[in-house]
Amino acid sequence: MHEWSLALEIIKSAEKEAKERNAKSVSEIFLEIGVLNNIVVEQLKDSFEIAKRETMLNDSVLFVKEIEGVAFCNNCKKSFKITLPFIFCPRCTEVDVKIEKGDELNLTKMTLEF
Amino acid sequence: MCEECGCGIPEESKVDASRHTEEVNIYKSLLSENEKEADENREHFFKHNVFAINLMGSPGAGKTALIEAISEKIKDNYKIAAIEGDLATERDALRLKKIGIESIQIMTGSTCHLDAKSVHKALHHLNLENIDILFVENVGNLVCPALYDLGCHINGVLLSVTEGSDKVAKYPVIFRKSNFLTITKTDLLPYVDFNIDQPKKESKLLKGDIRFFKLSSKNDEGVDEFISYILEKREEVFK
Repeated sequence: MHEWSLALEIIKSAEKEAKERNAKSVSEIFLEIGVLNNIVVEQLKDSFEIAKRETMLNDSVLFVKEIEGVAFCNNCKKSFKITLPFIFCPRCTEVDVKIEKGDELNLTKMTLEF
Repeated sequence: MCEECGCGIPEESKVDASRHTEEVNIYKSLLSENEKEADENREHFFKHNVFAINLMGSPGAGKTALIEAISEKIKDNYKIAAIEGDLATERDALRLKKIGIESIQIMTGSTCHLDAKSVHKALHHLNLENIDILFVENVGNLVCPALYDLGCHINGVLLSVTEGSDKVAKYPVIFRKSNFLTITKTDLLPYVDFNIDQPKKESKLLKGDIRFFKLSSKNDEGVDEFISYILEKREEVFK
């Protein structure tokens, strides 16, 4: 469901960046998406294919790099890999943790055509 | 073309070399526009001493009913207003106006969440000088609202006992982004199989410092405790 909203945000962000650089169109767009956002990448790509029509991204290809979740346990003072859906330290079961990775929702790179 | 199934999805980067292309590094949040608008909302709230609460939850979780219940109790001491988000109709705003609460309806059309910009527009229709506590009632949905920062001071989810006690782990993102989880309609507990310990435990496993409440807007159980929490948070922000 939020894949569609996100696809629209991708188009909006990419068009803004491309226009600022006076590009004619976008041929490639690269994202990094953290697993904690619960985005289904296949569904995001499907939504993107529809959302991009008749925009500067009409002929563009979307590449998504998924980032796994990592958190720091404030008790053990060590990082651990998050196993979804819950976020607790596998060593001590502490929930007082700081997310280090997995929250990303970034536009990292684009190939622009001039 | 995808070599595995020939579905037409390119597997690797292929760029037509005959045209002038340029690869640019950007590294920016996809929601940076929304984040900027949310910051603006935050500024408005601080400037006018408005304490803002983003209320999320499924359709029918009891969001409007809770705003009504809280308002009835504290409207003599605090000036309360609400921004109501729904796909269509002004029903919620009219409901609150009936009990004397200043409210403005955002009709999102097809959009399943509020974003910072729509809230910002709604703020222009409210007299912020005349508001102590602002409820921003999000569109009923446990998924999309989680992605959008509205600039509110606290965010929280209402989960009614009729929705089932297994919902927290099923929709993890919204609970991870929340400061509180409030179980609603506890007056119905005798009639449903709802294990109140499950959402309490699971929400802590998603967000260690989430605050947990249970209440019934109908029979008033637990409403005072929730109000104390809101007022405490307000004190923290504007001390």
